[in-house]
Amino acid sequence: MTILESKELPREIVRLNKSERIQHLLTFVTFVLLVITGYILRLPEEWILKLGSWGEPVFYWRGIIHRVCGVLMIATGVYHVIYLFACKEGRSFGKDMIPVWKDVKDIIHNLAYYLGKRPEPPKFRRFDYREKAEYLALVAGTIIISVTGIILWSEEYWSKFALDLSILIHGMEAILATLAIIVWHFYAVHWKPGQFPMSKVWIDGKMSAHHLLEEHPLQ
Amino acid sequence: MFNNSVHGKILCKNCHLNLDVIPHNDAKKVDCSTKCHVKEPSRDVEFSHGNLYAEVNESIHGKGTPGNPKTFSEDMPGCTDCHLNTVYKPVQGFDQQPGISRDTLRRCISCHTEAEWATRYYQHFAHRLHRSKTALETAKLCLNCHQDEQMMARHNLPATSNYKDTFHWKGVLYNDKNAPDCISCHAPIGYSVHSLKSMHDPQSPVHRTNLQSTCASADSTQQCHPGAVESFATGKIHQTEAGFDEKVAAFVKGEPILDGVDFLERRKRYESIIESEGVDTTSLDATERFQRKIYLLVKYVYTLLITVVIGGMLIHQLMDFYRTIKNRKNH
Repeated sequence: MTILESKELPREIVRLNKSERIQHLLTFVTFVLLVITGYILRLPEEWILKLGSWGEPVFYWRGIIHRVCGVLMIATGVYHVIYLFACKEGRSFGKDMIPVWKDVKDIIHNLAYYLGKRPEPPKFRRFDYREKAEYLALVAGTIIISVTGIILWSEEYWSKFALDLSILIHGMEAILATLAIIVWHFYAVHWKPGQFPMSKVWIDGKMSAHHLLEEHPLQ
Repeated sequence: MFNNSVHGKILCKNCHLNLDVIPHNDAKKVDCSTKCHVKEPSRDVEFSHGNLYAEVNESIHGKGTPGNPKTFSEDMPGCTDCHLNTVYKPVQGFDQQPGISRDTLRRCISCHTEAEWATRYYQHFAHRLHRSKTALETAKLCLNCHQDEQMMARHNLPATSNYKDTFHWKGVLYNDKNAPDCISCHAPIGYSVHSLKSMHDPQSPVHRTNLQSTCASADSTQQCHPGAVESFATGKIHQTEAGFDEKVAAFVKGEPILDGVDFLERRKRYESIIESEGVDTTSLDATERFQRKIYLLVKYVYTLLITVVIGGMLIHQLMDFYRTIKNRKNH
């Protein structure tokens, strides 16, 4: 039964349950720390030299935090996979995330709407194509960056070529992920008019029925 | 300054020969192989750095003999290119604070009653027990010459400023005590900086057959890669980047490198160089070439992916922003 068919419209609807909010929080915290401790290695040389005697502890703790967060992020991923198959809500989450033909039509429809060719945006289901694309990119990115990270961590057992490739891919994927989060995710939940300064769904999990009707009318 | 240095007690004229007449018209440049007027107490003979001088001359950095000098021997480093007249470094290590260990010195002074002499002698060997240069200083010292592309091209070598692409260099930059500088790999324990060899010489620690044990570095105080597998020690740690090998290759081909380096820089001939580089084309070189192609392909694909994906996202969100703002005004 969709919300539209129910007799009494609830004022709020649970968009993310507690487990999902914890998963988001873990991903969010580890991601930010991984980005910071990772990009420390790419600072300009003069900045690093200015650290002086602070350089050594920064370098040491950077490595420790990066590895701890890496392990935590992978653990969150494993937890998410279990959630997807073992929980009822997880199964419905996974099912709703699968891309379908309607998403392709939605993309075309929505772009036409942006360009003023269609009067109304498409009526999205629970997850629209933007969210599905981001989710699938997150899954793919997490796998790629975890595998290359583990290779780099166990460097002694790999050839120099495998390590060179891993460094390249790890760094490139990090650039892609960081930029995607800033451009795609932050726009949707921070910058977008109506959301600014921040959507609170990730904290209390609730979205107003009005907002839901606007963005996901078919849920 | 000089008084506090290693050579502070040695008279000027002992090193700068022919200073006997004033003005010093006939003064010669300092030759470190000169026999000193200092007697070395263990054998009671005049001290000299001459044996090291001979050792260096047999190494890759040697200038050759007067009758048969190496090509461009003027590029080769002399003693003072690496050895600054060391000001005594405060001793540090074990559980000691930096500075002079009064506790150790107490024992010296009980026999050697001349306190100043005892202190100086104590420091003379104590400063050698510790590295007087930081890893950063060492790397910069070597790079003084080795990142000079023109000089390296004269000697058929790639410039090694690309050491800076390695994680080793990151560690050095951050002052990590465990990070390796040039010496850690090119003259590890069991080798001497004075007798560095070409990487193609089987006596070199970075020769193909010695690399695995050099990376493992079992005897070192640094923790390197003790469990390094064989393939770990393959490939190049100083990565070859497109753009400088062409100069080296031009030199090999006998093209006018001396006055033509700048003009060569403008010519992108990397592909053809790769083909002609194979003087000793073995199967491994072919693999390396293949791996390099894969690496560049992945780099290219990822750069394209980032540009297209992020660019597309940016356009999409800008359109969304425009439409949302416009709708709000209409409402």
